[in-house]
Amino acid sequence: MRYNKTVYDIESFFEANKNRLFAYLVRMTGNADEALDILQESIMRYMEHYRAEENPGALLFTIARNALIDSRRRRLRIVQLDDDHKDSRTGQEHSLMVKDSCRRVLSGFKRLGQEERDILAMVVSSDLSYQEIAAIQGLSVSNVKVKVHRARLKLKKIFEGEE
Amino acid sequence: MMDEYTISMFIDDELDLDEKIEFVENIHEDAAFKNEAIKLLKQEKELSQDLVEQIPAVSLDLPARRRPPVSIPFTIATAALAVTVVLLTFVLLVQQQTGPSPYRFVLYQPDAGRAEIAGSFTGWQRLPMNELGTTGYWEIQLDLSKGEHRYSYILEGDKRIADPTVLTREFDDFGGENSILYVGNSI
Repeated sequence: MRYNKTVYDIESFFEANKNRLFAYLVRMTGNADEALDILQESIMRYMEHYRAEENPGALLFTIARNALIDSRRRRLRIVQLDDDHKDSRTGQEHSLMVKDSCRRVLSGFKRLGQEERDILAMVVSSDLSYQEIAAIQGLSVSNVKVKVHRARLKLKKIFEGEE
Repeated sequence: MMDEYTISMFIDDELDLDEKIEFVENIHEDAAFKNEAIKLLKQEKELSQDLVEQIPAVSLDLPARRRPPVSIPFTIATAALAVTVVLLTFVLLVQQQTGPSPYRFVLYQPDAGRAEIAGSFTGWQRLPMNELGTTGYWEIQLDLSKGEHRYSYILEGDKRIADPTVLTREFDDFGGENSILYVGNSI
């Protein structure tokens, strides 16, 4: 049953990767709904193009990162066209969906700069090495080392400021 | 004294055995370093909490799996259809990726009265560029196949210049400079 095997492969690939990828996207967006949209899109893009790849984890994160950037661009255009509805998805809906226990973490991530948020979200959410993350981000490994740590220190400061 | 960022390397399992020895020694010798490490480890527990569990309203399923159960022959037919769609999409995408795709050349030459482009993709025939109102920009959109292309701009019919926005260049046999453009796949 070749056909069923293909479907099974897609499902097992999705099962194996969805939680890590979703965790990365939630930490990046602070919004479960948006993260889910981008997750679906990333898996679809991945299945359509890149099933033969040898390191699916790193590639999937690269695709998700690009899908996230595309989504942000689209959203920016929508916001510019329709200022009245600015932030409608990150406001109330978000607070309903996210439990208290992780709201602090997500709001902390939101206060980081784009690059440090991206690197730390990837380190925390994936099982990718610094070397793989450096390749995805277009940075050197030593640069990733320093930036990961700086992001953690910055979060610590943010959390300490809240207490 | 170890670099502070080794704490992050410890958290992320990036230390080799020698570095781990040094790290443990450092923890014993330097109380401030130990305190910082403990604080960041505790913070990490919070950062890396299972977000999927924390957000129960989200069900992470492939769209197809949300459908109610159906009869087995129908499932096989659906699977076959899904595979056909994926394959067709793939074939179309491959065709799209290997075939030409539109590429927009833009040149800023506010003082020029005329601008043309000539390159390997035009068989080195000159094609006139369009002036964008009074902005000083000239543009032309051409279909380029994947791979390497060489070209230059011609101002006022006789002055050849390389593309100022493309840094890869080469001199040709006639003393002019060509820009080298690489058109590849995008993810």
